[in-house]
Amino acid sequence: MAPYTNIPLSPAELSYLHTSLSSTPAIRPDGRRPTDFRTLTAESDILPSANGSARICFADGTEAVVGVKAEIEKSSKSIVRHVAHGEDGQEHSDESKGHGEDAWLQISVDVPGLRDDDALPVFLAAMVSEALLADGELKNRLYINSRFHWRLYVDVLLLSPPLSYPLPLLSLTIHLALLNTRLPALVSQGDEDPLFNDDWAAATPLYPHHNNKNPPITLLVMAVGGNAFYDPSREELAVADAVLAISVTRLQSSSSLQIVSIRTVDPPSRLTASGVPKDLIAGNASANAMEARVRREKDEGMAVWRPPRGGLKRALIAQITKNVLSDGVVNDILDALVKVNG
Amino acid sequence: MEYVSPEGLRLDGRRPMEMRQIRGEIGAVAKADGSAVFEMGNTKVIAAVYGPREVQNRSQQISDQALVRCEYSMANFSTGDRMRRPKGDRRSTEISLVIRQTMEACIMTHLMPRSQIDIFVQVLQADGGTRSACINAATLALADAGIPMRDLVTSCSAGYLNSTPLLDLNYVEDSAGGPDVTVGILAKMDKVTLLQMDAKLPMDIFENVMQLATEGCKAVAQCIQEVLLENSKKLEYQRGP
Amino acid sequence: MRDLRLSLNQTQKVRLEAALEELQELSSSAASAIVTVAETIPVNHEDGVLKGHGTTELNGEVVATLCGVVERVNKLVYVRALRARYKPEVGDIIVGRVVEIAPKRWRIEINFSQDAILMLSAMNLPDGIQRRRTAVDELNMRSIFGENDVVSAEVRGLQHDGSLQLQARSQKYGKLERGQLITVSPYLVKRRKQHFHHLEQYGIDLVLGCNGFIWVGEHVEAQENAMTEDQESETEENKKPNKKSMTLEEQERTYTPFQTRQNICRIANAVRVLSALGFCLTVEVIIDTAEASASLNIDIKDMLGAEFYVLTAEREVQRRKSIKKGG
Repeated sequence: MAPYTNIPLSPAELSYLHTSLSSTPAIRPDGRRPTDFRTLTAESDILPSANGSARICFADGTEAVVGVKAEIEKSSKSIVRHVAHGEDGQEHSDESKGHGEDAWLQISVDVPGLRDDDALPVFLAAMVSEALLADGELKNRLYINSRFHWRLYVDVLLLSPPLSYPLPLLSLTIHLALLNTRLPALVSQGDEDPLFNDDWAAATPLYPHHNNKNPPITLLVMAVGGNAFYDPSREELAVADAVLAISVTRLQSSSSLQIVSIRTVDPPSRLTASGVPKDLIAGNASANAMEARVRREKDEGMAVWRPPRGGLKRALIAQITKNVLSDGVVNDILDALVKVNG
Repeated sequence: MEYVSPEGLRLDGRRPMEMRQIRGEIGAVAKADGSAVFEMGNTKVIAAVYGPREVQNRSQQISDQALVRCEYSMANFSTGDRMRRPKGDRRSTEISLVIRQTMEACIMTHLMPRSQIDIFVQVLQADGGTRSACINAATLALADAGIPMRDLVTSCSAGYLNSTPLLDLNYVEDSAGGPDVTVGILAKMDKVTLLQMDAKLPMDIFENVMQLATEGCKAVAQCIQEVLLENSKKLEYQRGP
Repeated sequence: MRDLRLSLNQTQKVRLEAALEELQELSSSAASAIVTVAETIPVNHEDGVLKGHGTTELNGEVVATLCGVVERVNKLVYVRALRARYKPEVGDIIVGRVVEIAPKRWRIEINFSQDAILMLSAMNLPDGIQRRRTAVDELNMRSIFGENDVVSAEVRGLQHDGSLQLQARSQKYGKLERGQLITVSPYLVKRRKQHFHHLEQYGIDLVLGCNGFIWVGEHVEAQENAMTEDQESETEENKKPNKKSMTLEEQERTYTPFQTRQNICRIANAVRVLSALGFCLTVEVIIDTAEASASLNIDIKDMLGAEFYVLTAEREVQRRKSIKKGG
């Protein structure tokens, strides 16, 4: 997983935070409930030269701008062969004409201060595209005919250096941008060279309103002790026992949620340094070196902050996934984003 | 192709001496020490300034002044065609260097020894005059960050098409192949810090075009002064006695 | 509204605009001269004016190099910048975070153009004895402050190369634990006589660092003058060790009570709202805001919401009006 270092918190602060978050009821540093999201501002259609665009600013100051551009591309011969073999069991949708290819969607993430081949942009792009391609919905919409298809470029620009793990920010912004992406209306028919309506007002949305499925969004959920928290801030992530990235999509017809993918994210808390109890500090007359080493190995003095070791309990994962589907948080976010789109 | 109609109107309806609409806004990026958005017509640029802060690379530390670094990048979606721009390509590097030298000339670096000032400029929409918009945005962002400067640097471009000097070229006029003069001035001191031109121009016409661009710069300086004054007033009365 | 991105509905927007306008009217009578970069500052040249920070000379005129407020003190004219990095003065109390441990010193980040330096000799040793620092002390620097620790200290002076020296000799300075650190813009924190505040009704320590770092944490008893009790240090150890002599880690065994944690969150949110509004941060205003939220039964999380934001603005208008009438 992409290394996420630079958590400037002292062992004392980490210990205090961890205790606050694992108590019942949990106390988050800004007093939110575990299911509360911080406010965010979202605008759509901010780039007139792009097929679709969005900008979202989170409350902690991180911002992302996404521009979606589509270009016509000639399909390779393999598509023709696939169509001839008939369709496989894809989701029943009126527009499914055949098979999309994963390569038709290209996502690039631009983080200021980092190179293009640094770990963080590459991982973020991979995780986001994995969620979008998982249910096959998006790539099927890019099919025009057996000879041509749309190539969709989703360019994500992070306007501020990443504070907390920016995955949910990127995912929400891409979701909003895709919701208002429009493709020119197809005028030609069948397999002839594609011809489009010049009138932009006649352009069809990539995800029409009557459509069954919308693009998925990815949320970060973190667990401390037995409590699960949505929208963790940077300080909270630093003490997480476990962090999950869950991608969810909503079926329009039934308003039910489906989990598209789950991924564990290495919690940055593993990279923190542990606190040292006073009597184990070298040079202090009361401890001798051998004894100190033995005690450190045995993890004694548990009151001091220790980076978490080990993995997640399966019951905790089950509980988190159940909560995500039934909590109503995801529905609220999706509804809010749809409203932004007007 | 006709860039100036016989009635004297350009392709977008402007007169030859007319600038596009300019707009500056402070505080676009929340976590930066200073930030600004600057728009010249359809060209939109965001600048973020971090610093002065501790030098990250100890070997680059200068003992008696601040180190100024600048990074320019164009978003992939900024132009009409989507183009993949690798970060280190020649054009970005050249423009980063130009912006850095221009800003370094006006920042009073000797007041902040052993520190580092980072300027990040990103082009969100490109429609000609990106270089100028970047410099103007950087000036706004530096003033917002409270970094002492000798003067405000403003920049504007001008060209010569169809035997007419034109102020503030947009993308279509820029790609016409005519000369494109970019001027950056220190507004109050009335000194030139940046002068770039491509293509050829006779000397007397060059003087006219440069004069026109300088006028444009002064108009931008006016706008920037107003934005800064407004912002400072607001901060002060909010803070209270 | 740089820090909190809030969506206000129509009525809230109108109320906020009205409150800000009233604030503007209240302060315009104070007639502070705002200048921007490269603007001329009107001075009386016969008086022999001294050009201070933020000014420079151009063609015989005094010109500003910063955007800010012109301050005149006798013959000195300078420009006080608004949003800028911390500008240190000797004797300032600051809160910072240790970024590096270097030979015989700690480097502390304090929102200044460089990292500040706290020399080992400017810090009390854990055993409280006044003595020369030995090589063993140098190796045990981590036992005093480790990386990423939050410390409070005082500005000792500026070196000629621009670096800042700190000292933390008194008992009230040192490591801060069990709480939250909040960063605001330095211009919002005024220099006062007292920067360490003990809020008794909440059981909280509030440290307003002049550099814009504000610490809200559980109250810790300051140890009385260990420096003068060198001879009695033995008897002190025999007594039940009070909180300051234990290190933070051991104190965690005595967990901060639930109510105190909630109070810490409330005060922290009050600070966040005030700094988002751009109002000056003083203890009175912070306590006032926290009490208002408690009395109006506003949930701690709602303190960062739109309604409380507008309410706080309106309260501030009232407060300033009453100060003006009374003062």
